[in-house]
Amino acid sequence: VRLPVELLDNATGEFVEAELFDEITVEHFLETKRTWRPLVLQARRKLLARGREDLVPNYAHWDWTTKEPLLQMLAMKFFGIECGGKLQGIVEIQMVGYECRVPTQRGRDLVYVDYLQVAPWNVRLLMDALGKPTQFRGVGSRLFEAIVRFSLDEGFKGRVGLHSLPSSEAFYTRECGMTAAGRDRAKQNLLWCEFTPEQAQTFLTGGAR
Amino acid sequence: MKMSNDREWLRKRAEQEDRHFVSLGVLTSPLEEDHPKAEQSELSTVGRKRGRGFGRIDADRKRSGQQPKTSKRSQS
Repeated sequence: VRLPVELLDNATGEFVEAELFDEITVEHFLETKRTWRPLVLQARRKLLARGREDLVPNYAHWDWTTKEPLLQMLAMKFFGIECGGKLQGIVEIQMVGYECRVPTQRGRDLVYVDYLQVAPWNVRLLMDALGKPTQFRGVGSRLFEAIVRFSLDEGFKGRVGLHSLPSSEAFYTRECGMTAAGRDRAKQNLLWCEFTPEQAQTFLTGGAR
Repeated sequence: MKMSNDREWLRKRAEQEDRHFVSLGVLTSPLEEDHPKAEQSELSTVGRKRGRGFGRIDADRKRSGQQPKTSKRSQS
């Protein structure tokens, strides 16, 4: 998959062409470690120094390079977005092992979102901490759109499930319109969020809340 | 797969995204950043008692063709 997608350039307010792709390699993982991680940690330190622990993201420790073995697995899939020659966001999904939990869909297969991360220079909450503007807007939404469209294409009818980090719960439930279906004690007590086919369509066609 | 070319949709989503973190994955532990040796195992150990089962969860998942340990037990 290699598809043109648009993002918003924060500096100009214009739409810019980016590329969604699924040929993720270990080089992309290394790029996140080399260029994303230092910035996340830098922002984290600034926020902590200001006593804003509430704004510290829950993912400062992630290391995508540990995921290299997963690149070979058929049940796993990765999407990335590149713009300006740089990786702007990446997501890992899996097609087996999880089922719907929302009563109307219970037991049906879905696409599970394992990891999703946007480059720190596109995350306003982080760049605000560093006193810098963001570069591109809408990266996370594009990645999430790709997941929903993949779910539709692969016969999951738009069903998507995920365990939300506390810092992301409001985005997936309030903004995207996913159903919060309880905390999962077996998964760090994270909140299980799910798209029914109808909710997925609403997300794609504009309505959120 | 066809992605949307609706610019208003993207504008609206970008505004929403600006107000939140959107990242997904395992929960962090504040200890991890200061323990470089833990980095290789952190994806499996965060939220669990340190020193037990490092790397085990991911390894189990790989061997079993991606059957996450949470799937059945937690669906009630």
